[in-house]
Amino acid sequence: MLRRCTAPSLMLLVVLLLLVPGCKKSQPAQVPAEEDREQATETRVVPPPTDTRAASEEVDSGGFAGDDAGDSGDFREETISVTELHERLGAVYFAYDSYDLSPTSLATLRENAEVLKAYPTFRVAVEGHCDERGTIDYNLALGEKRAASVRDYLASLGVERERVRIITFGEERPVDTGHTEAAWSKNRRAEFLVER
Amino acid sequence: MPESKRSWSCLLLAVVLLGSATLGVSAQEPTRLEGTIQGQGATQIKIAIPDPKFPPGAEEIGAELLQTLRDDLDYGGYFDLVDPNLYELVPVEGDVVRHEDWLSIGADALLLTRLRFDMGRLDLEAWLYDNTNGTQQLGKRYGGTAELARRVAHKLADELVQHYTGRPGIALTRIAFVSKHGDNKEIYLVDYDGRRLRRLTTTDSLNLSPTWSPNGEELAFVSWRGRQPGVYVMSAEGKLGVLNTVGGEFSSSPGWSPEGRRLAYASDLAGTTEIYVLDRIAAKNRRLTYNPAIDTSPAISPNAREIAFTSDRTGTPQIYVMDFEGVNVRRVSWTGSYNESAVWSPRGDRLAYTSRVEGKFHIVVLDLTSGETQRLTHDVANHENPSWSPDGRHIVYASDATGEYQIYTMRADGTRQVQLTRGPASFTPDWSR
Repeated sequence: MLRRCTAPSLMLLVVLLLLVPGCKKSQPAQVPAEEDREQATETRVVPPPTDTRAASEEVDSGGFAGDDAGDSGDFREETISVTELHERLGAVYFAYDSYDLSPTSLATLRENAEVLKAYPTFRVAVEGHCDERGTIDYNLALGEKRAASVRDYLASLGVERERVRIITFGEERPVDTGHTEAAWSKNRRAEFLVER
Repeated sequence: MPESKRSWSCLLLAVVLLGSATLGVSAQEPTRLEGTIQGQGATQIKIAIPDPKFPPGAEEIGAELLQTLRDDLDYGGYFDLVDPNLYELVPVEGDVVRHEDWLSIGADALLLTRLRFDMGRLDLEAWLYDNTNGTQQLGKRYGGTAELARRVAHKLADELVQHYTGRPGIALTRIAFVSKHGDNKEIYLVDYDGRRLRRLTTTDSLNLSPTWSPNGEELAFVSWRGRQPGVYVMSAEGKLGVLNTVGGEFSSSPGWSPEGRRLAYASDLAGTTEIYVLDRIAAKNRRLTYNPAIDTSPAISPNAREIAFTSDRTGTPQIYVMDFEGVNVRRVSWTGSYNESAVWSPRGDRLAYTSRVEGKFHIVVLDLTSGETQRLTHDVANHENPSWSPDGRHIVYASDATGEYQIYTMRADGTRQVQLTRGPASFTPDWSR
């Protein structure tokens, strides 16, 4: 269908693509207000990803190639920055030697699920971590289990499993290197990492 | 002054003569160790190893060679080295070996050496004597460049162990482990005595659990060098090889089969961490566990009939043993609420593992025949990741006794703890076969 588009319509599309990101940069408040977040994203995710790619291919072959043509591919995801999305995906914490999700964790993950559903083009990695106690080997499996619990729960809330990669670091990446319960409780966690 | 010294020597000689009168009983059977090495308190060979005359230019290297040899024999536990201060009590008269005099200072055995040093090359000759009957037991000759002095000493030490026990010594073994580099960990090797430390990987990523293949030519390990943590294999020189594991988002805990063809490991391919065995030649994987709990840390028994592993299927990590095919699973650890990383003794009669006792982690040994557990470490620190020496007489492990984790060895009864590493924090040691 798209391949049969006329040259003028393609040019119009390119012009639109060039203009829209420019406007966006002047609006730093990219996170939509709670009530109209869904709507906001839907209206902004235009044109659909496949169309964009096809359009830029056509532009390239049509001699309009340039730096701007490449930018058009990123446009569709720029409704929220990676950093901002990352900040909105809260970490969850676990009891010692446990991969059960606490009521607090469940609440955090429900919020995270809403955020993830609002920005369906982003993929995330869930990192599973442990405190320093216990063996290195077992903590790798425990970290995996923690991350998997998070993914399972997100999936039950409608976040596609394919969007969530899990990766364990066992006890290898503490946020607090202390040797007290205060430090350990911060380290027994699952955190989100935003991937494109 | 000379007189008083002589009388002091005479007194000393008298004392050791008295001592050797009782010790002399066991000296009548030169191969007596064969029967006693199985037991706990071993009868040790009392041996004297006097320094030879060091050739010019080889004083230092010669002294290091002889000391390495003595250290090896002392460490191995089969030998009791006669105090070198007593050697001067034995008069030297040309080439005559005065066996009675050596016997009188308590030396049932005597190792004499001759060292030559020419153009940077060492040439060592060694003769082992049984002083109880004056016979020569062994004659050996080694040559090599000066850098190989320690190796020559290790080789000779292993010869002596082999001669008396009929079993290979451990003086040429190495220990692989990981050391902290900022956020990452790299793989290192060190000789069993803590010498000749060398770095094997420069990946700027996280590497853990290097595990020796039975022939000592390869190391399997866990690395984050890819997108997901996985099990890799490399040569002992650091060259990466191919390993056809099932992948998954995470695989870990490699454990070799005794013939080196198969590798057990854990992977989350099925959604939960399960145990798999890879046949490297057939490039086929077989899943062994089917349990929603964590199943990890597989260790294949020395006869390849069983696999020990950790599972938290009862709510806490415990040690289980199953048949190699994955059936007949039985729990073997019954004390404590955290038991992990089991490794088989070379004879397959014991399992060493990490156990939580009063909030700290300790090395324990489970005797599979009697079902009895012996705790090997008792200080207030943590101790993890035991690995047996190939002769089953020692265990290497990581401990945070100094405040951060370092690598240590100890005898298999928990005595004689020796710190091997002193640099950056170090973890997951594995003793070469």
